[in-house]
Amino acid sequence: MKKIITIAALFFGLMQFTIAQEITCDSIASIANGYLRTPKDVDMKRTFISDGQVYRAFLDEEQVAEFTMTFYGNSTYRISTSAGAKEDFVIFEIYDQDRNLLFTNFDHGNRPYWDFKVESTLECTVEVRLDLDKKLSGCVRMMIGFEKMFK
Amino acid sequence: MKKYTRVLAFSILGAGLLHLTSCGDSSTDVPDGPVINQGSGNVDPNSGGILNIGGQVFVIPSPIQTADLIAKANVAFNADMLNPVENVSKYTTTFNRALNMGIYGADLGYISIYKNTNYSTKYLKAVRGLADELGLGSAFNDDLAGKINDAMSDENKMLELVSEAYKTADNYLKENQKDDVASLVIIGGWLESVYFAGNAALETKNKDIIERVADQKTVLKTILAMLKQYRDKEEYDDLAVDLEDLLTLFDKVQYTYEYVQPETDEVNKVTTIKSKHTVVISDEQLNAIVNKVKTIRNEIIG
Repeated sequence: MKKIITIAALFFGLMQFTIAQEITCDSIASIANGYLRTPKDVDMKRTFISDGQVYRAFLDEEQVAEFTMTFYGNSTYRISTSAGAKEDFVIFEIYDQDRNLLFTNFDHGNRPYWDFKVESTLECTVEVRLDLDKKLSGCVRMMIGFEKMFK
Repeated sequence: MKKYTRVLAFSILGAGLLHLTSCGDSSTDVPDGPVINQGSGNVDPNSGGILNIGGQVFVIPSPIQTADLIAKANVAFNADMLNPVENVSKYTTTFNRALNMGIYGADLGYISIYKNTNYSTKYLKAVRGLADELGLGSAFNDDLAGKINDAMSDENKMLELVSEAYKTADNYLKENQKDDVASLVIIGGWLESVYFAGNAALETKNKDIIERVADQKTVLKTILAMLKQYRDKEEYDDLAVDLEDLLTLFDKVQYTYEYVQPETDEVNKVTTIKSKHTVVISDEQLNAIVNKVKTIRNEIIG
């Protein structure tokens, strides 16, 4: 009887743990996704369409996720990130092909999303890492949306 | 019995604590996803679920964005450019199904932008059929189909729903270590969008659309880098060889890039990236690229 209860208890604990982990990363994805359509966007009748991909990483100290991408000219994009309940866990930086820093949200209080008006097509790299003063490791999600042009 | 209750209570408490640490801001989160890029530059060999080589993740632009550009340039809807839905039954391998699911997805995006409801239902059905075959039925379930049907007159809503479904499918494939299949869906969608743009470029000579075709060089390089890890499989290698041939045609196009300081509007949380990129592409080069895209695409649709 003792064994059964112990095994049941451990199993229950493991299940709780597994579910908790799943909820964490799923919730983070939902948070990042939510930044593509904020109440302000609704008010402004503005739509950012997701590019249909999910960008994810588990980052630990010293780790950086590097996203190689192309921004099309005459377009507006939104990049959103999340690593949990608080908005300022993630630092993301955009570099051009010559490694010029174009943007860092660190200069804006680690704001979780930002819009980019791109005048000319741009090959760039987005680097994503955790702000180690706020979080040492965890699940990170990034979403990219583009603003629809044709009305 | 008291002792057993204590064991149970401890386990529950332990689980609760783990739950709190995993959901909170603690620095003790337990790994629950793939490592992308370590400081040392090594990548977790078990990092299924991300499109990742050497610490890089590959971002391919949405096919809907190019369809949007074509519509904005007032190019008329052309149903002949779509992959006929009758072709669905020809796709019997995961490889073909995944590529054509991407192609039909781009078709559905194109149809949505032009609000052509006559085609929406049957293309949605084609996508759902392939999604089911690929085990992605949950991404394109009855609930979503109902929502898309309800949104047929609202293209923004419809595009959001289609993108959402593809995002769900992408996430599912990556979560289940089927990154290779996820790559094919993305490549199919990209190829179809370049096919649309190429045809529109030849038809209209619109400068923006021609540039959009020329701009695919960087995207194509990204796609080839993404495909590299799967080239031990013959059909992936064949596709990569075709795409490499296409890349050589882009090599003749002239590109320049000049960095310009970006401008940030703190109030509206927007940064304008002002760097200059120019393209010089001849009619001959454009024709060669469009023809090659058409050949590769037509081979895939069968």
